Amino acid sequence: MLAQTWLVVVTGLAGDPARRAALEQHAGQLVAAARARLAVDPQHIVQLGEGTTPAAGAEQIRRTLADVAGRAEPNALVVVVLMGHGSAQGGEARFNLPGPDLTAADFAHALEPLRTQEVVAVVATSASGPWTAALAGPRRAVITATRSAVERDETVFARYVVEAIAGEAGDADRNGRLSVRELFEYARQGVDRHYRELRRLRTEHALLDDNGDGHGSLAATDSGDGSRAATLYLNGAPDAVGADAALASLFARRDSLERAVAALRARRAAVDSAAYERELERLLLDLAQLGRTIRERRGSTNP
Amino acid sequence: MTAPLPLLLALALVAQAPPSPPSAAARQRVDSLLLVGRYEEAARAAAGAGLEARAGEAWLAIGRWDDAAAAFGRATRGGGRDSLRGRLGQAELAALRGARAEARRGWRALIAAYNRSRSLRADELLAVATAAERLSAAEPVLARDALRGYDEAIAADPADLEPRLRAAALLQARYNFAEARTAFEDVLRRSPAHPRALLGIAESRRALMDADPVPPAESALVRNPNLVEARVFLARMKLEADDWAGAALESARALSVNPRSREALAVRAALAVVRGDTARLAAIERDLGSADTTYAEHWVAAAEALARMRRYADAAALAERAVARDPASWRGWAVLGANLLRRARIAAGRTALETAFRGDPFDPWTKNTLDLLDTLQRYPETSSRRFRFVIDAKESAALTPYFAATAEEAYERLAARYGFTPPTPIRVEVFPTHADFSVRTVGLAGIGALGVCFGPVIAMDSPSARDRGAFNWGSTLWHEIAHVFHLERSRYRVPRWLTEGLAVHEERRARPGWGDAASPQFLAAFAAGSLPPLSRLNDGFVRPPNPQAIGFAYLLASYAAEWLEATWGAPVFVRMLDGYGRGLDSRTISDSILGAPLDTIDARFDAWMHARFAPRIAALDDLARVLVAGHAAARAGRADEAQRHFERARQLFPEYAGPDSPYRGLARLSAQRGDRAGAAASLAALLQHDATAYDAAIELAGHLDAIGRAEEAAAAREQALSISPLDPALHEQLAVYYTRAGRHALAVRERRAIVALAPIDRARAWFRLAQALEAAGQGEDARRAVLRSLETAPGDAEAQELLLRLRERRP
Repeated sequence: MLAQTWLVVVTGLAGDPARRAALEQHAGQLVAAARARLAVDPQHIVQLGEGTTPAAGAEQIRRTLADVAGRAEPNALVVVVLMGHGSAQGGEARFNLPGPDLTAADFAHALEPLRTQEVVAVVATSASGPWTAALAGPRRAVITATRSAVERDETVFARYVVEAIAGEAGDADRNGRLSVRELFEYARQGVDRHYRELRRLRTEHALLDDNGDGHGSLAATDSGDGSRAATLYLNGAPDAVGADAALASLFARRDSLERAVAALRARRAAVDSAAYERELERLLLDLAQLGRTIRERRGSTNP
Repeated sequence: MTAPLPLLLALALVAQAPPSPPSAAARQRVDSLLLVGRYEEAARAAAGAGLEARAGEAWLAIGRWDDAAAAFGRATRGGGRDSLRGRLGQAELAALRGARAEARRGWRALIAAYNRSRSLRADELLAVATAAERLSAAEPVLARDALRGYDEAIAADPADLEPRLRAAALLQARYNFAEARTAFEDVLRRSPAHPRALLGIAESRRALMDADPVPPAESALVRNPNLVEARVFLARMKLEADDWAGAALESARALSVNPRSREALAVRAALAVVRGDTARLAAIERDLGSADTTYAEHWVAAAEALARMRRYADAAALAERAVARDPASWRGWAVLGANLLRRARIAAGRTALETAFRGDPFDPWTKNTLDLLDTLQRYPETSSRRFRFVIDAKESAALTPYFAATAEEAYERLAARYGFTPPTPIRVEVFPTHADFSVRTVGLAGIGALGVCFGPVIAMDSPSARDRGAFNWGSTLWHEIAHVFHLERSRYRVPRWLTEGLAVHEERRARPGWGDAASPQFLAAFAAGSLPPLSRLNDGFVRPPNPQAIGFAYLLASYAAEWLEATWGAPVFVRMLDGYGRGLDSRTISDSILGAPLDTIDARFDAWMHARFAPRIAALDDLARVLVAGHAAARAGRADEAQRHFERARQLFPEYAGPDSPYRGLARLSAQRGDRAGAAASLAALLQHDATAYDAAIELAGHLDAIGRAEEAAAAREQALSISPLDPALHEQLAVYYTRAGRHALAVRERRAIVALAPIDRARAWFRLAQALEAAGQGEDARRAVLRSLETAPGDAEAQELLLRLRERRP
């Protein structure tokens, strides 16, 4: 369980006032949602952009990350989100900023001080695919909005990243915690729906790499990219037990049942469907009963 | 008729003497005579000039096979200039006589001659290329050699049009219609009004469906009235247009030129089938079989003609006979496969198409259809009482409940109206991409229709296949189901104009706004006299002179249906359909059922149309003027003036619901004034005349919600559903309303739709469905739904409580 979450949100060069307003709006919503829904300490949130002081720039990003590395707990989760325009010139992937652009290599270098923390890099820009290979490493999860540098059109991925954090739906398993995998899956499916509803050809395909091999996956799985991201939570567990040992035991039992449901789900294809349904219902009833007991013990019978 | 003896003797002497080149003038004369269809003269002139192979070809053109054989024999004797072309003629004749092995030997010998020879003349290259083309029927790869041979022949004698024409025809036969057209146009540049090039253009138009194919075929006959192929082409067009007498006349003309024309006899065979004249059919088959017992292309041609007349079962039966007689008739297998698919015999259809594809891998129809079958195989099938729905997995669960409800209602109402129940189940295939629907329908992408009915099979675009608001799936489905009744009741003999007219008429009767209404453009065309009379209305469907004409044909036919019902009552439809089912033609139907000859019926309908639309026609000019003025005033912010103009436009033409309709203008003005009730009234009026206006339905619902008219808002949203049921937000709004209103069954329907649309938050969608099911008293289904919710989100406290509650209530 992670004690601390840090959030660094950087919006790049917008190009025109309307885009700048949209970017700033997304960044503002992301910061607000992180505070309100994920309970991230405001002291642990840094927002950089064209209009901030100091303004976003390659050097400022490097300094900010070095500063966070110095202040964050050793096992803290540091989430860095880049929003705006990306490009690839001469084979080098870039994030467009006022002043010199930030290259993927620059960014990898800037993340180096965060050696003991878990880092989640969300590069929600166009042409961001190559950042996966550049940023991959141990204790890193990298999410890019596109799968290659060729996907150069403006992306909508960031919008769904914000939505995943701001709304209830991002927490797909409703355990009160938002995992990096849930965040990625929500945003990925949101993008898919966006293009389908507009009946447009999809021009962005997000990637997730959490096993450090530098090869992103288009969807999270239990056996590949996604398994580690499922254990990285953007917020701590809401289950403050204090000195209540009985409650702690109930939580442990609940976690065990949830793991059993997840394991059953993973075996679904190999299990007879009637047996699957029976076992699922048994586990879910136990879990529901346990949930009710926990709620009652915590003084709230209202779901 | 045979040539006089002295001439034959002279020719024999010429053949034995060392060949001397015929004069260019003589060749030119023969070619000119052939061009204008003076075949017998051409044959004699050619023989006189020592052009024996050409003489043989001229005799062949008029079915005088013995004379042709003699001429080809003379051409080949002594290895003269014409010998290769003569050998080609002999092989062609052998093929016509059914001696296929001999024909193949002859064609192969020409290929061998080409391979042995270092240089061949243009007409020899032409013979070799033609032989390669013939052999390519069994060995498709030789088609390329044939084209190369024609190219070499063109290079050897650029002035000779024959290799150009044959190359173009080969491209056409290999389904490359666009290149074929370019090649025919090239011939026309060199020889304006060349009859065979004009016919080639007509055939490419028919294949590409991009222009009326009849005029170029008719032009071809102006210069060569004996061009049998053009007569046959016109006969087929007339057959498709239900003009049986015209088809008979054209095919008779073709046979008067060449009594042995198999293609003309094939049309006669199709006509005999259409008319149920089994004796004549047997006679035609005897005629054809006497020459070649394996010949089956007449059956294929007849099957194709029947399929175009929508007699798919008869077409499949004929195609089956064709392939039984000639198992190498790849077109026969393709026609059989296509028509079995139309009869919902999917597995048998696929097998036939696979056989066709093995023999003719160039055929794009077959290839596309086989690819589509692979796609269709992945579509889940769901059933209602009388329908089987085959819909893409992504949409199946979302669309089926709505499609099933509409389809069942249509069946019941139409069964009552037409007094019978067509066989069920009816298979409804719904395609999310228009190209797939198009392939299912005609084998190629590019068809403009929204749906098609083959009788037991309906294929149509999914709402997702087109932009939202482009069409109303409900009215399209109703329209196609109406066709099922017309086809079955008439034993698949109803003419196109009647079934289309009736189907649109039935749409209008089903829901307000369904079925297109007369547009100003349509009425202007009618007033100008540019629409066909009722008796020739089928032409508007079968050979529309331009894309707009087919839309006008639908409208005119629909008003004809309205007029028929108004004049004779609804039972007249059944009497007419039964009449067609008994094999009567339109002329007889008119006399015996409508009680007047066709020209009288034409006149009466025309008068009724003028009377019905007189005020609208009179208002056309004013309408255009006030609409322009209204929109200009609205843009300039002169609201009162705009209001006056729009109100006037509404009075002039209340049915006008186009993009610049007065209702939209009035709704905008009301909304600008904050008058939501006024805006709602205008939008509701618009929807009475245009059932595809999705945006208007949604806007209307918003206004009604805002003024507390929730039930009407829900009705507006229901209207939007029949345009596109694929928007989760729309279902959510309806679900919330129905839950509040205590209409739990409808709330369940809406919640099921949301689940089916695979929302990102699936757990929540299942939970809401479980709640709706619980409220509807469907505890067991609610339990299953909440388990699906918790399967994804096991920690959801609300869902946990619902599961416990349901468990506690379980007996």
